[in-house]
Amino acid sequence: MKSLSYTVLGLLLTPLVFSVLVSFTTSQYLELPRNGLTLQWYEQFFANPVWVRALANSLAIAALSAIFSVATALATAAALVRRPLRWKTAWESALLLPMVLPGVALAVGMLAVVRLTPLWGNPLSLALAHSVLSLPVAYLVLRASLQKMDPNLEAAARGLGANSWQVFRFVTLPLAAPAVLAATLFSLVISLNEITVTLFLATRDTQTLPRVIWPNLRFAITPLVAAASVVLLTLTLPAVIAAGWWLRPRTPRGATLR
Amino acid sequence: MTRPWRLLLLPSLFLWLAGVLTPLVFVLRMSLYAHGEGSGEKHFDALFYQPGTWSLQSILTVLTEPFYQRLFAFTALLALTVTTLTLLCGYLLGYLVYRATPKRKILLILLIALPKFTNILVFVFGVKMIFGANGFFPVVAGEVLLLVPYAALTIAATLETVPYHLVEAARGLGASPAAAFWRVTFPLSMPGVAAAAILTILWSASGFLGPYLLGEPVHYTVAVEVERQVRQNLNWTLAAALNVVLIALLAGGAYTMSLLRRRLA
Repeated sequence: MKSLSYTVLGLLLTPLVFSVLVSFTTSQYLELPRNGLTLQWYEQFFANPVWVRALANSLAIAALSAIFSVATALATAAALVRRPLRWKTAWESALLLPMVLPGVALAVGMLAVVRLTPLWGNPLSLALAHSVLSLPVAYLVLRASLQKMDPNLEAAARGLGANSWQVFRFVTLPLAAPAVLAATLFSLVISLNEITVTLFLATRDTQTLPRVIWPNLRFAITPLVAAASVVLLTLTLPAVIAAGWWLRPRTPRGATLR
Repeated sequence: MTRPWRLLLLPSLFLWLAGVLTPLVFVLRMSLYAHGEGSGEKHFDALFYQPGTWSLQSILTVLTEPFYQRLFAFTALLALTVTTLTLLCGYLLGYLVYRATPKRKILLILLIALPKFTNILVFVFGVKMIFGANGFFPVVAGEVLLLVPYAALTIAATLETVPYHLVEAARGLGASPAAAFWRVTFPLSMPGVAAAAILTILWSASGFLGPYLLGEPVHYTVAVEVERQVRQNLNWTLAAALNVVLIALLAGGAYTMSLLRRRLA
């Protein structure tokens, strides 16, 4: 039974290992490296303006969408967590809706909406669309953090004369900092990896890295695709490990009133 | 002073209205347009649909044409196959996490979640390499591998709430390890399995990348057809109609499953 479980885990990790290895292949085709390793696919990646431009677009869109989604999630969680509100459950379910809706349905609708606005062909439209998708995750992370926080700390600050903004700025925000960082990283990763909505909304000037990989994956496959994928991997993986580090379970240090 | 904190809800209200509700309303409205005619040289949007018209043509096409009926039937078949296998594999991994020492637990969770944080295209590309040729089996395997981390972590989270001393008590009263598992652990983990089942069936039924990249055209799902209608055939009304029927079926399915779950609980 245990060996079967490890087989599943192995299968889960194999595709990843494969694509990393293939990016160093000396062959012209998608093959595991046999006669030594080469960096030529990475050189070709960084020598080609289409790929470099896509990398820059990806980073800019990811940064913008993370700002939108985390700021929005933080405001929403700060408003909803400790206050009774009649529509709270309904509002939270509505916010989480993009997680279960078919991606293509949202994408088609967003395409129709964006085409009617001046945002068509503007990276801002992609950043906003990505933030719609990452908002549920950012919200869940921040809500969990605010719910765990000792409400007495905020009450104490208020009792000592702090106004709402000061309570938020000097008590709530510092205590929620790890969750804010984690939510930011999750949002960045979601945006950097997004393909379904991007496929519908990106124009020639706003192509992201996954969008440029897409046609190559379906048709002309060279190890350059593997290299491009690994570049994306090296951008997201450290972010994820950092997020995991910040979110790790630990005992609070002096953060509670006794 | 009326409650100023309500202003904090404005950003999410804006994002939700602009990014979720309006697009969904547009999809619904678009499925009811007469579909576009004319050449590409004409007024740009008139090609995709005829504004201002009302027509059930696209919805009826989706509901009555054998091609689309087969498409939905295949999507359902794929979703059920993928969900069954995902739950099996997810339970195996979830149980592995449940029984691991605290230190290994973190490592295992990280390893299970790792593929989710690497690029989905990198991942599918790797699956493609393992199987070589496209076909039904690679599609199923690809979708299962894409979804199994969610199922495994959901089930692991529920298993964590099962106190192990209950199993020990059963063993002490003479139950075999298998009997202790099937009569104690398994029933108590059912809420996690049910939650994982609902998510997996929703995600596999709207799956897009696996069938598109790992399958032949006979393995395409409704979501793939939507992409092809919008980006290749420029038939937006038909794509919208496919989406409306898909969402209706998924919502109905999710509602039925949540009712079943409540009855089981």
